[in-house]
Amino acid sequence: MPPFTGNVYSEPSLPANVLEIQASIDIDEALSYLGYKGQRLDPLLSETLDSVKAEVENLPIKALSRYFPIIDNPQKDSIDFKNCSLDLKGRDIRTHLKDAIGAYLVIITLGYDSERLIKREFAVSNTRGLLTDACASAYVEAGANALSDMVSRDASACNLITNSRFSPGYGDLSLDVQEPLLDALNAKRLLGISITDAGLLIPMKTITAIIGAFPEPLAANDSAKRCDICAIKDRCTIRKQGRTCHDVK
Amino acid sequence: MTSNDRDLLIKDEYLKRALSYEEFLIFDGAMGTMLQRLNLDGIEELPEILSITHPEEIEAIHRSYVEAGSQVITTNTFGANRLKLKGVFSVSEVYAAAASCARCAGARYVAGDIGPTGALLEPLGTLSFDDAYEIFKEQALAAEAAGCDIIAIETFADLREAKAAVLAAVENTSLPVFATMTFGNDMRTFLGTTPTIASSLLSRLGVSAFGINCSLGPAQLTGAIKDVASTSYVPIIVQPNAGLPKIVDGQTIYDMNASDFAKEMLPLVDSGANIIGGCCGTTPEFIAQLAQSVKGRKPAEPVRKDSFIVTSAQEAIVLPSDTHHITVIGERINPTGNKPMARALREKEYDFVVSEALDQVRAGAKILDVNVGLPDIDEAQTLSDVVEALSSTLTAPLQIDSSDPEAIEQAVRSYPGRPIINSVNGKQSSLDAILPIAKKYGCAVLGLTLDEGGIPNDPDKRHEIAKRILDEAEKIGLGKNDIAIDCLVMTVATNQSEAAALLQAIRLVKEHLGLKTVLGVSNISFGMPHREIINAAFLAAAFGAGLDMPIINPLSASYRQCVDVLSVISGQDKGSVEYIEKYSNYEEICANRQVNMADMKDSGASSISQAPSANQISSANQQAPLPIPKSFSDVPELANTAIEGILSGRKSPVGNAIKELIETHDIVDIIDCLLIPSLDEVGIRYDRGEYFLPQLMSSAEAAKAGFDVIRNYTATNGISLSKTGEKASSQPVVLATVEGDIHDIGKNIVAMLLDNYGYEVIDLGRDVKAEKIIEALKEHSAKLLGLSALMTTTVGAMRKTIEKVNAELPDVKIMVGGAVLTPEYAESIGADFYAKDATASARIAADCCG
Repeated sequence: MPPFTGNVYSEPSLPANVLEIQASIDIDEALSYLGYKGQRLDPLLSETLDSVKAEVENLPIKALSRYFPIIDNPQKDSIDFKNCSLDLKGRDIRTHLKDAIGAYLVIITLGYDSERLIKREFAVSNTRGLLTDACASAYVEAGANALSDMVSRDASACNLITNSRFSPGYGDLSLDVQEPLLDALNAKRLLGISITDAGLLIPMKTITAIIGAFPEPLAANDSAKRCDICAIKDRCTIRKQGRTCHDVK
Repeated sequence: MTSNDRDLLIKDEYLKRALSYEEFLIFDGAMGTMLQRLNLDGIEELPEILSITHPEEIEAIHRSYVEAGSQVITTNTFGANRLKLKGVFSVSEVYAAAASCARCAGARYVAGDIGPTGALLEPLGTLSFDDAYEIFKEQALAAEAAGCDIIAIETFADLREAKAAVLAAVENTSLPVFATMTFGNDMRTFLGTTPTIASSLLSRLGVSAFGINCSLGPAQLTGAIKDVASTSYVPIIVQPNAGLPKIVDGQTIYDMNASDFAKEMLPLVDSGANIIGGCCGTTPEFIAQLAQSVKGRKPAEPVRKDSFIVTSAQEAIVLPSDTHHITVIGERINPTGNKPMARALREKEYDFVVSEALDQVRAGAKILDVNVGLPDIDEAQTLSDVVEALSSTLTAPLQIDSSDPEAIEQAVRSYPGRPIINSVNGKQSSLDAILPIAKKYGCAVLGLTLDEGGIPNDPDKRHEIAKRILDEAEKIGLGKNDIAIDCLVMTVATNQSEAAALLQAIRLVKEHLGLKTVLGVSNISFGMPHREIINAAFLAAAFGAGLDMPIINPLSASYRQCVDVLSVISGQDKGSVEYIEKYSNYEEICANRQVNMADMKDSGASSISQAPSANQISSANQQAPLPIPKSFSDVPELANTAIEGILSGRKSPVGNAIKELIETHDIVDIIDCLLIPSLDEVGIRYDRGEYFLPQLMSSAEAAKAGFDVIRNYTATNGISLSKTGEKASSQPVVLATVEGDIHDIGKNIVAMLLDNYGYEVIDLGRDVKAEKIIEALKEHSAKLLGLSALMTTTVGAMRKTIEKVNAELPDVKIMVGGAVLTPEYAESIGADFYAKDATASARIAADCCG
């Protein structure tokens, strides 16, 4: 992993190169995606899960992260960034970045090997496929958490405080921002990320997010509000388990 | 130079000499960096349009490179394809303007630049190989029409896309084609291709130069260029970045200086690169220093290592000509004498084929033979489909096995790698049909020692045929690195002198022709008892005679053991590490294995270690079993095995129990009284929350194992399933994930469950247009459609699909499902049913189809 530059310049600056992220799969998290509610795990299923977990954890996690200062312009209804064509529209991202002086744009991916692995496991058996897919989701999520921690450390070296990750497609933030977000990170060239006409990313196990950077400590936990804006809040299986997807700790 | 046999239009003598390793050819540096420097980036949505709107500025950039010493100027057309231009400007307009800028700047040679389409090719994305080819063909023709002297295909990460671009350029123009790919820190492209793999394929496709651009700085490319030099058949081009990027004050910068760049380029030049330039971050100053540094030098001709190389997009099997190693080719993807495989191919169940392939790879196969020859199928289409299914899931290179040249050509054309063609033989008709395909698509080819006179007994005659195959191959530009010979084994049961003759033929081919050899070993024992004993011993003998690539069933333990030993004695298994690891606890493993084979297969575990203990298995199923149905009261244990197997999600016990029951009991009873009630019970337990999704799924798979036994049985015995009274039999249900959505797991689960309940499931896949759905509904006269959408952004597509289906086919009932849907929303978009999960969809289907 390349060393962090910290506050070398006037603002935070992680390296422009691809970061390699270490993470491990939280099995409970993976099972929760599959609707697990404490059912007794048959030893055969446990064993399959272990072998799938090991295969998924062989995949490299790659990431990019870059800090962009917010251009303060209260007249405009969108949030603009310096050195970046991305502009973010919507009530929810505005709330997320309220009082932020800048934001980290991040992307984390399991790469094309993950596409091949998941496809292969579904070919071998749907059960293994399901478990592989869930483990891969938990793995990329764990990678995103690890990257968030790195971002938070990088920010704190500049006396900034970060908040949680906010991803396109969440709340009223349109998936249309995926394309400029990828461009801002040069993610097509550096990670080979592709985007479909509908704004979905390939490899599918890829997360993009926006993390706010603030000069002052954040007020209250925004957890409850975060769920309010979610389209699937009433059917969310994670919430039913008393957890949230944005506040994993 | 073996680069190609088309009529090349090489502009002048100097270019000709450069393409014969005699002169350096200096390219230019980055366009993007210069646009940034002149504040021209971002003016147009696409920088390629600047050649039309700001021709003076583009010309000025080109001129600065010409003045710095660039002999070749690359046109500003990297993304000038119809996908990106979107009709705002035509492809030919942009190329014409761009080439004019380069010419006006005084370029000695103008290289028409072609970058990737920007869209992802199938099967990862949605762009087909043929569509990509058409896009590149339009660009290549535009470049030639615009008066370019060279076509530069550059910065590709997908080998398949690069192959489409190269074929489009060499098949449609007379210009020399230069192709380069871009690699990451790990010396692989995003899709896993290494420089060796790319070079082994692309340098054989008729290009005039192959190499690397972009990627990293020159110092990081030293090893990669050496790999290219040892495998390339054409001159080497290299255009690295100005080191690694950094972000300073919000800008991406490359902080290497021009003189360091030129210095670091010299090792690449020494390795044999004679076409040189720069990519991201390089400027005219870099080119000036680079041109200066090679002034007065003579290019070093790269030293190619003779090897027989076979590759997929991610894996290269390299057999150096001076080394004798054993490399197993797995033979099991072949319907001959393999009924489940034949059925899978007929019914397009390619998952079965992938599974079989994976088993072979895990058992040590390095290359997989793929044969789909069945009298009643479209072989060309099936072969291509299977090759695509395998190359999108596994990394082992493939051997394309067919007697139909058209099927071979269709399969190898879009294959992302260098496969082996199986096979050509000494008949003139075969040589004429197959060798040109191998040449055109950069394939290796397997030659059989038979001709118009059949298979000669005399080893000298077999050697003669092998020589004839090599001679003919050399005539069209193939060589020893492209041919492997199969001396064809026949059974000792009918002719005992056969074995000795064959071994002698192998020796002759190796000694006199220096070719690698292949052998379908198991034919030797045809008609003999305990064939595996003969097979393994004969494999060892054949290896002793010089065999390199046995075509065998790697799942056979005796073969595997023999291969493991041969790897030790040939020095291939260094320090015998693999052998020791595998066989140190062999007795223990064997004992465990016999007990647990069945369940290991169920869990998908592969290695022969790590078997679950016996008590784990017996404790597996603690929930109350179902009562034994009356019609099975004579065999309560077997019936119970089937029921418990389904409830606990174990395939093998279910399959085995049904195999026995089917001989003594009515098929209708097995389905209606055993399999379906067990599945229903699984559904109930799932609904009650006692099971969660993977358990539902493994039970469904266990039940499927039972249904598969029945299907194989009825197919073999000519029983029509519909006559067996299977309830839902032949009721068609069409399933699809709506347009724009690429999530298909939920839909796949529904498909599997409905399939188990006996519906004829027509699964159209993901990202499916309404028109295609309507077509399928009509074709199959289906009355039920299941639609899936996972994204809030794609339920709009679901609504539109429903509107279109209702308008054309008002009788069709539509059920919908997906994470973002609610019953209310489903109703509001006009769906007839909302399926909250897979078991709900089975109930809806039952209500609908009866």
